[in-house]
Amino acid sequence: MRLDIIRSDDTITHVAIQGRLDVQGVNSIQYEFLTQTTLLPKATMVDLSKVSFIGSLGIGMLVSAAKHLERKGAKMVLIGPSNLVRQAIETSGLHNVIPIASEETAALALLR
Amino acid sequence: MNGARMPSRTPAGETNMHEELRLTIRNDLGELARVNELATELLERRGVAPRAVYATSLALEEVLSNVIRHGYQDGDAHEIALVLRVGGGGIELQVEDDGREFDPVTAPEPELDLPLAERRAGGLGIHLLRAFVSEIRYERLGDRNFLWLRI
Repeated sequence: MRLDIIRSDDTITHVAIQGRLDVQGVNSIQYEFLTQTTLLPKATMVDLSKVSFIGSLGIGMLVSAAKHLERKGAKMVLIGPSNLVRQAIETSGLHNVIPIASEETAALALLR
Repeated sequence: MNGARMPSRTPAGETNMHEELRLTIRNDLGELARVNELATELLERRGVAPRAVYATSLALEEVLSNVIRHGYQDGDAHEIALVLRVGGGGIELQVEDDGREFDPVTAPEPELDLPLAERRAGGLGIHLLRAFVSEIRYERLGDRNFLWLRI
C-alpha cells in the first residue's frame, strides 16, 4: 500500500494511491491520506489508477476527505479507476458527489 | 488461522472437480489479508474471471470485517469458519460465526442519493455485497449465524 504526493502547491493537491484499499490498506494510509488532502482547503485530485481493489472502508475514506474539503469550499476529483474499482464506486453512488475523470487534464477541468 | 484446501469430486463422481478452501480464523481484522491472499490464489489458479475474483474478495472483506467489528461485544476471542468452493457450479462462500444475530438479506439499504454533506463514511458494505454477488442466504441456528453466498 502506498501514497505518493504528485503535487502539493498553493492551489492543488494531487496524490496517487497504489495497492488495495481494503481494511489493511485503509488502516495503513488513512491518516496520511486525510492529512495530505484535508490539512489545507485546496482543489484535490486523487489518482486511483493503481488501486486494484476498493471496499466499503476505502470508499468511506474518500467520503471523509471529500466532505471535509467541501465544508471548506474545496472540491475533490478521482482519476482513472479501473473498471472494477469504478463499478464499486458507482454502486455506492459516490460518483454522484465526487466526480471521476479519466486522466489529469480532465480532472483539472472539473476542478476549475 | 487454520486451513486446508481439499479437491473433491461431485457426488456422481464426474470429472468436474471442485476445490475447497476451508479456514477457521480469529475475530481479528489482521486475519483478512491472509484470507484474501489464499482465496485469490485459489481462484486465479482455477482460471476464474477477474470480476468474480474481485467479487469474492469484496464478499470476504465485507462479511468478515462486519462480523469482526460488529458481531462481538464481549472482548473475547472467537472463531469464524469459512468455506470457499470453486468448480463447475461457480463460486460459493459459506461463513459461520457465533456473533450477534445479523441478517444481511433483510438489512435496510443505505440512501445513495444524499448530498455529500449528509453522507456517512460507513454503511455501504452490505449494499456493495448485494451488488457484487448473485445470491445470499442467511440462517440463524441456535447462537450461530450461517451465511451462504453464490458469486
